[in-house]
Amino acid sequence: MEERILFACPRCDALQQVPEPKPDEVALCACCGARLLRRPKGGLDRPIALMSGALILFLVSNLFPLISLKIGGVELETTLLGTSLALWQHSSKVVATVVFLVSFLVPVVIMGVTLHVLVSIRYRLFLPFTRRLLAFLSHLHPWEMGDVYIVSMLVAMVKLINMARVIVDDGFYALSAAVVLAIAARAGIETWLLWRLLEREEATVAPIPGRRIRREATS
Amino acid sequence: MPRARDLGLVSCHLCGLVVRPPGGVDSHVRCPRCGSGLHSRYPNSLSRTWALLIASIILYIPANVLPIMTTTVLGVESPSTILSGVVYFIEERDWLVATVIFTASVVVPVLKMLSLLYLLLSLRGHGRLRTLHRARLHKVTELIGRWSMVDVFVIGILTALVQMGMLSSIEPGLGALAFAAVVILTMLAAESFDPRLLWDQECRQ
Repeated sequence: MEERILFACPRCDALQQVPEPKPDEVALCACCGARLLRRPKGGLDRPIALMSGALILFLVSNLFPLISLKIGGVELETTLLGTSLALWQHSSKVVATVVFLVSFLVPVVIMGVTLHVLVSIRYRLFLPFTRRLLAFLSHLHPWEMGDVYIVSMLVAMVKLINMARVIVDDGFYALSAAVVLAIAARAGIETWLLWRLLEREEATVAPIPGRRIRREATS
Repeated sequence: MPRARDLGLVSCHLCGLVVRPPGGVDSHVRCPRCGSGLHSRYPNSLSRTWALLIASIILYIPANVLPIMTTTVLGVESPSTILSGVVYFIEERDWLVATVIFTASVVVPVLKMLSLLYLLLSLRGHGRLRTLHRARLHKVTELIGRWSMVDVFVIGILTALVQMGMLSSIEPGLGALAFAAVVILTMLAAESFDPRLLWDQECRQ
């Protein structure tokens, strides 16, 4: 029994009944060929494992120095958090805050929120705020740039090698691995699928009095 | 092929649910599944896209003219702009890095701005490409835009890493701020352009 999903193409607005894709299949719009739905290969177990690994590696990478630099006879090594601290002390506090937010806080929050949503759906835990957090993640999707970050790190390394003697330390490898794991985890998740799973889970629980879920659609 | 708007249906941009708002296609309701606001077409799509595009074009001038980064070694300050950085790597015969930086900082932003300009003008009847190709152009613009962030990230990483006080330090210049703004604004502009408007235009003809 193949289930069909009523879907309006986000690119051309064509209304169609899309057969639910099987694992590793992609559904395309019948009118303009845009990618509508994709079903990743496995379930949620692997993304949970990968994202947990990414978060742990990311946090741990802060315990170890990122790189060691030798400029003009002075050697300096620094951790990820240490850089924000150095900026706060020696340079603009605004830049320090931005670097802290973007390089540490935001990635940690995104990874944590993703885990919260995934675990809540997979283990049927109904953790609070799951819906709002999933909406938050769906909004963020166009702005996830882990792959761009990896290329940027490589370019920065090349620029640094021209300026100083650079020794890559453990923290750097841990950080790179964390980004790779996070990208792999994200590839195993599809937002529309999470919404459907969430809806199905909540449908099997008695409805909360006072909140009706109304859905109307034509065939 | 029936279109959702013609049938009085709205699809949620976050979770994909197809809903029939009781007050009509343009009424302000929330998606019953995810709670986000439902819009048949992105609200004020064209005026937002124009505004963001024009702002990013204006800011591209200081992004190139003002220094993007200042390297201080032993008290000597060396400011550099986007183009001076590319020239440096060409002189060092590091063709790969020079190409990467030139592509991410010059080619990609300019192509994005021209593409968005073309798409906006085509909705006023000035374009000649088929709708399908214009839709693909928009998709490519959206996907490629994020790669211009390479420059911004590189400066951020270098700033964060090279902080040795007075001996040596790297600081972002105002050009970096302008360039980051250009990248973010063009990304927002591509995101606020509703591709369904292209097909609306085709259906009207």
